[in-house]
Amino acid sequence: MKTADLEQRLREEPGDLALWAAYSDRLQEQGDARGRIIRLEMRRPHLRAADRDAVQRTIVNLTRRHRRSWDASLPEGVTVLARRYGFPAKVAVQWSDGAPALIGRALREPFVTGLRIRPASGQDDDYREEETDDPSDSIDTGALATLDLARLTELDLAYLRIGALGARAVAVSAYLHAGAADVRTAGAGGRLESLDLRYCRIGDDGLAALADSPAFRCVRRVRLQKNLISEKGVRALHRFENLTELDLRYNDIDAEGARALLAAPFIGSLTRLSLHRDDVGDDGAAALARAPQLPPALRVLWRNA
Amino acid sequence: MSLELRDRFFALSAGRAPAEEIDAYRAEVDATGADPAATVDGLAVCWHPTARFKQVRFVDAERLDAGVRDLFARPVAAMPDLAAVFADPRELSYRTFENILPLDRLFADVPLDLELTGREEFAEGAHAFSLRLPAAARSALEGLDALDLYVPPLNASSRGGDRFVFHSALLAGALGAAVRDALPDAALDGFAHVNPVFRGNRFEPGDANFHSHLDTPYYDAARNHVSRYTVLLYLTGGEGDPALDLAGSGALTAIEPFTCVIFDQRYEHEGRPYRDGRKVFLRTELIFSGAGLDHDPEIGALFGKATYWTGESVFAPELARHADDYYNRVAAAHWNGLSPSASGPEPFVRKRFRGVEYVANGYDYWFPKDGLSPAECAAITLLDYFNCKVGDSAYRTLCETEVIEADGTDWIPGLLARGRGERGESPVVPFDKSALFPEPEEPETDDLPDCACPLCAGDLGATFDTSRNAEIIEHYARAQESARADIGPAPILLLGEDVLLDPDLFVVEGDRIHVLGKEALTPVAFASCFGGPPMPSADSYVATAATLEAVHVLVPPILFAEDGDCYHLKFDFFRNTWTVGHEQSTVSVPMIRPFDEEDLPEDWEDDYDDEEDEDWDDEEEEEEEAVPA
Repeated sequence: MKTADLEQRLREEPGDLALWAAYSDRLQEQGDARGRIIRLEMRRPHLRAADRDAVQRTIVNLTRRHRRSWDASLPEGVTVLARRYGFPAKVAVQWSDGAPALIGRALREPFVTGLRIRPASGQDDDYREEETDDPSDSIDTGALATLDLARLTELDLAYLRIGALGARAVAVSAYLHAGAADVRTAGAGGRLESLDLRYCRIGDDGLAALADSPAFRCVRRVRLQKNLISEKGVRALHRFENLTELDLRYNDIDAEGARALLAAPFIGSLTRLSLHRDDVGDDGAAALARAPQLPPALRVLWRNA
Repeated sequence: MSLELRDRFFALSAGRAPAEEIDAYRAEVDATGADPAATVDGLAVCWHPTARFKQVRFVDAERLDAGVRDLFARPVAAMPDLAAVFADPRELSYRTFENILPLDRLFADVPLDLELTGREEFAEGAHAFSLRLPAAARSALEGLDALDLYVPPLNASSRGGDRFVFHSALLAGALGAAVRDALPDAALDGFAHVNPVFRGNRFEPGDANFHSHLDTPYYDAARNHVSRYTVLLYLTGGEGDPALDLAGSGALTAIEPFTCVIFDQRYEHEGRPYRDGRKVFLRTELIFSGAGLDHDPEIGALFGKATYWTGESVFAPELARHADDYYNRVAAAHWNGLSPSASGPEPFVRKRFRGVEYVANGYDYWFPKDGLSPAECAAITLLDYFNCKVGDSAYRTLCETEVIEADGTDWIPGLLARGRGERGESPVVPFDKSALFPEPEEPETDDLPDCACPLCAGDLGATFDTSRNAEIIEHYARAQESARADIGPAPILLLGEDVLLDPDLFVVEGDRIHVLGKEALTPVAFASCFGGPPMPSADSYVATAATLEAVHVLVPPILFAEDGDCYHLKFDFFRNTWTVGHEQSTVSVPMIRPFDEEDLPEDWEDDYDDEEDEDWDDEEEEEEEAVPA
């Protein structure tokens, strides 16, 4: 199997250890230290604690020694935030007009599955009388639609004020790249599991657009702090049927929103729910406190909030 | 009304009031309810007796909240710093059974040159002395009785008289020096010190005997100290039948005031009241380093049961005699090894806590396996053993309890199987503590300005994110760190009336459950300031998201085995090789609250500097004048 094919298979089945072992052999034949790191990582869980620490130190040292050459193919302006077996796994890019092109190049790296887009400094210099779901003036929301997010498992747009329009553009990107005739199925089978949209001000409409996109159906973790979400947005969340972690702090979802949340199909599977009493009001807190469908470890916080 | 109830308690305690008057007072107390006024040693207390707060205790007044301190009586004229509090006896745990009074101050200015003279060995290893002491010291010791600090002993069913417990390092030190000079060298081998905790005892003629018993040896695992001799210091003299009987080996019938008796704790002994007057004596022990001690885990088990039955006897008085029996067996075992337990039924309690039924005896705990993890069983065991406070209630008051006396333990799995019903959620909820500490956001704005005007503060109002302000985040992170330091190592958290356990801190390894535990502006140029309202400080935006009680325990591993459909846990809290402790602390979990227009004071203009205002007006006028018409 060609190396490129092997990498494609690994992207599709990242948990297949036999494939990784084969890939390790291939890399070691080429003198690539990442081949050794793969072997070390595979051995590590089976070692005694002291030996695990020694292996970890070896991996850190190898990474420190080689990372510059490993990252040489990444364009300037792309930062590596996390690695797997030495390969960039999550990268960050600051938003600018040229960001989509940089992202496109970064995503050509074989195992990048996480992307963070940081806001440009000063994105919010424009004065606002009140909070709205308008995007920042510095963001060309249309450009967001050009991003190909198909291979990502983690999308992190924290603090990037994309507004409702930007959220729609991100949702549409799946259609554009799928090229499907039927938009209802475009992006289906998307890999995204983690979506960080805190402080993006996407509003109920932006959230609804993302929830309607099949590309986001597998999402398990969503961060939505400060996004102008109300009861309507919470109802849109129902489309994320696999959610296990949800952060809705600093949104006026009110008691009706709390009740809508309790009606969500994922409510019994949540392991983490971040919300403040101010977000749901006294009635909402009371509803959460007595909801049998909410897992006990989450409900106790409301019984005593 | 409550002050009258308070004062009448001490008036009735001091005199010999008619039984009818005391009965009427008790009825009045039983009909009185009140919220706790303060907390001392983890116990909720009130300044007067109520249906709930019935046990009088004495504490340093300084330890009471200043706002309510003056409501508490100071019934001991000679010790005005000692306040009387009323506690709920159901909240007592092994740490608070005894009310140990700090009385060192009574001896602070007293010459304590004690001398033990005229030694008479009236039985092997039993010595009687006369205590010589300065008049002031004699007077201070005689005065102890008049302080009237006595409370009914916990084991009142098996002994007569009144008792109080106090601590005095000064008295113990002086007595220790006298003992070194007076006892034969052979008896002093390994002698470390006199226990500074004294028991003051008072018997009136006609009181019940202090029945034949062995003194429970003092044991300090951390220092490897053990008591070997009992010390009795008689403050009054008299004659008894006999006054002290060492189980037939020797006896004292006539006792002179300030006689000191030191005898080997192997002696079973009995004390009787004087025929002709009040008998007042202090008891303590001689402590020795415990080199060469063996340890039998069974003794620890018996001692654990004894202390457990002492606590449970508050709810079921019939258990007190079992506690007494266990203490005696422990004391005997200390010297002679464990004897086969007496045949006959032993006590157990069958308890139900929020749907979970279990059987316990203070050492063994049996739980039905059904739906419970070993960690959950261990958490319930700790709550029960330490009688933790859950919400406003002591754990043991939240249980339905039935005392069972039975032979052996074979019947327990069947009992628990029969009692198994439809059980809901576990009463101890596994909880991920990190949920309490969401990571702070990345800052977007710098430090808060002094002034909230648009020029100084910029975009305040609906769009101002307190959660992304650098200064507020700094306070928030610090508050989180502080709360995390306390909550992190706590295996059990109490959130209101809910009990949460940290599964990561209950580590099951083989047949053991290890419960792991521990160990605050940038300058603003005036010329650019519009003079707005003062900006609230950054820390005012860090509010409390939740308040938890963190239960910290340092306990030995809990042994556990699967016994049919049951988990059988063995909790030996008094195991020799362990230093043990338990504390409960209240912790606030922080959150950042949003900015609110109401944060700005309405009357801020009242504080505005008029002179600066005038300067500003002058400048404006000058500018206006400078503009050509």
